[in-house]
Amino acid sequence: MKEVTCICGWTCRGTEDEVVAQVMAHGRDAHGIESTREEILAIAVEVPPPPASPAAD
Amino acid sequence: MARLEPPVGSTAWSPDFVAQTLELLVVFGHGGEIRSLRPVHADALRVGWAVGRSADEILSELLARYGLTPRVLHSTSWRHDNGHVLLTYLAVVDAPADPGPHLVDEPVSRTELARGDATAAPASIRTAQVLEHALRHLAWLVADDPAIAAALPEWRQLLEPYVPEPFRGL
Repeated sequence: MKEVTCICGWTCRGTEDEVVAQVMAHGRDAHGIESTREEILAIAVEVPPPPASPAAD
Repeated sequence: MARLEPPVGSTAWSPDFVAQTLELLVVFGHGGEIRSLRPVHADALRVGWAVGRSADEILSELLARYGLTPRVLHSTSWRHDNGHVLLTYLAVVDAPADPGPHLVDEPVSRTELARGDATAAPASIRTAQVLEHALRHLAWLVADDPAIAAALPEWRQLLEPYVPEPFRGL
């Protein structure tokens, strides 16, 4: 899992592909910035995966 | 073409650390009122806290990213967030000439504190309540801590409403 926190406070978390897609869209829509996959992964930090859902009774 | 900004924080997270996030609430005085600066798309600035680094250093660097210099930087409370401890600092800065494109400047409104049981934390805590607590804490510090009082000579009056009534004027 990766996470990116933008300087404007916007945060996204997900797989590499999800984070890249979200950051590209946010950069374009909120800041008018075009970014590459490499640039985004360079600023992403590793985060733990969400805990598994408890089993149903 | 504008380029992607460097990361606000670069600390990798670990499920094994108890505390890993710093939260920063930023306030300044202007026109006789207290105002806050928050990120456009969040309630507060948050950044990872790497092992071996001081919170003061990390948060001063974070403020510098927004062109701000702290007059006071003080830890004020902590709470649980997603299973980790979130440590909150309050920064008092000079009124910015321009908050820039990434911060929102807004007046601080009074709110009720989040209250828990005698032996348990509140079930939920809003950022506005954390800020209310922080300003009550700062109101005590400007009266009690010589370093804070010297750094914020005009804030004793600004914070008067945050001092419990029996203690005002002491």
